[in-house]
Amino acid sequence: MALLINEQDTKFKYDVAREAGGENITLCFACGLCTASCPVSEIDADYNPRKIIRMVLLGMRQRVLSSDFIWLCTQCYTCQAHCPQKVNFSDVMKALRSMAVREGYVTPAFMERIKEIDSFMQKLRHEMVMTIVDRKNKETDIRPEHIASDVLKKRSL
Amino acid sequence: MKKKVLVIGAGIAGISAALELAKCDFYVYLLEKNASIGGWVSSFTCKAHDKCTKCSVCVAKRKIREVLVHPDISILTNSTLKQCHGEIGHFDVEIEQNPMHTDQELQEQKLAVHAIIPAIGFELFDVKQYGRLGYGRYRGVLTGFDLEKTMLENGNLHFPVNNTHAPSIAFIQCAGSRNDNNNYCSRVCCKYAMRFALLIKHLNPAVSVTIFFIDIQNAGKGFAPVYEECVGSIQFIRGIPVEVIENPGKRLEVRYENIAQGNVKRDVFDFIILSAGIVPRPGTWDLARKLGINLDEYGFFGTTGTFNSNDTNVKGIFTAGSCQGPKDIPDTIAHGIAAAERIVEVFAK
Ligand SMILES: Cc1cc2nc3c(=O)[nH]c(=O)nc-3n(C[C@H](O)[C@H](O)[C@H](O)COP(=O)(O)OP(=O)(O)OC[C@H]3O[C@@H](n4cnc5c(N)ncnc54)[C@H](O)[C@@H]3O)c2cc1C
Ligand code: SF4
Ligand code: SF4
Ligand code: SF4
Ligand code: SF4
Repeated sequence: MALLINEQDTKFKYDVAREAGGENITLCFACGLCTASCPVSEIDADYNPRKIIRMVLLGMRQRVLSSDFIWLCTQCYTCQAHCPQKVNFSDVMKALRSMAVREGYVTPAFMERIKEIDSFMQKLRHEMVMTIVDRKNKETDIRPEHIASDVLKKRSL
Repeated sequence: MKKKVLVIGAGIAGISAALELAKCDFYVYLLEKNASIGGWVSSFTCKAHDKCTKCSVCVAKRKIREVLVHPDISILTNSTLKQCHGEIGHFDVEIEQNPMHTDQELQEQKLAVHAIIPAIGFELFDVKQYGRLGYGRYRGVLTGFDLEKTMLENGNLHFPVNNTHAPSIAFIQCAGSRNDNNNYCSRVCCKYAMRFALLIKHLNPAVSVTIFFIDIQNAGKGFAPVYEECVGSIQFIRGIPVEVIENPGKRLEVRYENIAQGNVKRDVFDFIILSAGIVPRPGTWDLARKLGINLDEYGFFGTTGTFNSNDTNVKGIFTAGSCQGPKDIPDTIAHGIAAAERIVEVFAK
């Protein structure tokens, strides 16, 4: 992650801190508990909450607001529960998302699509869990992808 | 007649203040709620390996022995303060002394003193509050204080060598410090962790030792060389483990972000030592209420100015040691002496 000085926007962190949810961003002391606990970092090694915070603090406005990262967060609040400094990273993500929309990095329709995906994922998970709970013999060897395709075939979500 | 001072708490802070006052011609009542004096330091060990690492424990223990035989210091053990009235120059205090034997009655005693030094010390952060770190659940998870006690009691820190692998030990720093409840650095745990790391290596050369940290608090005269010495033989990893889980092989697995490398990693250890920090004693509030003194934002005794760490809001009451904020032994001794000197100064006028 090379940092170009002329790309630096020293105001960025203060703008984030003024946004609802972004208030505590400057408190981060880089302990890495957020990244170590994040379920997205677990499956995508490039997704790193601590680094995203560093990028904000370093003023990498354009790179952060145009990145895929801010949309990958599942808003699960795990990082927030572990953070010793109350940085409230899930809420910081909300702030970054609304800034990205407002500053034209994505369209409001894109934001809506993300919300639909999140809601769809919740429903899918719910149905999947119900499927294995319903099964009388509680088979344990059935793979998630098979359950998912069953659910998607049988029910309309 | 000698002027009299009541020192509450016979830890190293109270002891240092008492010795200094006695030296300056005061008479001291040294109140201690426990049966023995010395506070935390009494359960600490010498942390020398092949050479002294300047942990100051022996210095403190020397002072404990000195105070026991001082003719102008009256030590009241099993005792607490019940009430306090009056003002600088004439405080009337009531002391409650628990009996040594169950068939005896609680004894009360009234004293008249010129000044008071609350020096009741600190409490160790209760790491069980961090369920995710497994203290109390897994036998291999210990605190720095457990190491102090074990080493003092057994004279050795023996880590059982397994025939399949050499044991590995990891320290996790800042357990209970620098968080939203205790948002300050405890100042002693980086140093005791590094001293123990060197000692463990010295006693068990086959063992590997790792320290997980956010940043290393390396302050203190002569401490930089201890860190330098660690760098060769101890592995330092920037990043704090989020969780300790026992794996099927009964070893302890931790998950953390290795910040220098920017990735999430898992490692297994046989023992995890939590560097539990310093928090205010539960009794701090109660004593503050009896004396009419203020607490600071963290719950330690408060003082009147940024550059004055002894004077409380009540004239004639001066606080000493780690009940005012985290301090190592040298700083505690200096702070105790400073409190005593403030009293000498006030009454010299
Ligand atoms: C695990 C660990 C390892 C450490 N290792 C080192 C080290 O190697 N080197 C170093 O320099 N520092 C070390 N420290 C720091 C050291 O413990 C402190 O600097 C020191 O103990 C502070 O002394 P104190 O007198 O302020 O408090 P304390 O030691 O807490 O003494 C307070 C005394 O007051 C008594 N008391 C409490 N409440 C009352 C009451 N209401 N009425 C009457 N009496 C009361 C207590 O019983 C106690 O005897 C370590 C700390 C920890 C946690
Ligand atoms: S857990 Fe909190 S303090 Fe630690 S790196 Fe993440 S945001 Fe920063
Ligand atoms: S809220 Fe987002 S960043 Fe935080 S742990 Fe969940 S997925 Fe990761
Ligand atoms: S200062 Fe500490 S390490 Fe050195 S001799 Fe004294 S107790 Fe031992
Ligand atoms: S001394 Fe070290 S371990 Fe203790 S609170 Fe400070 S930084 Fe954390």
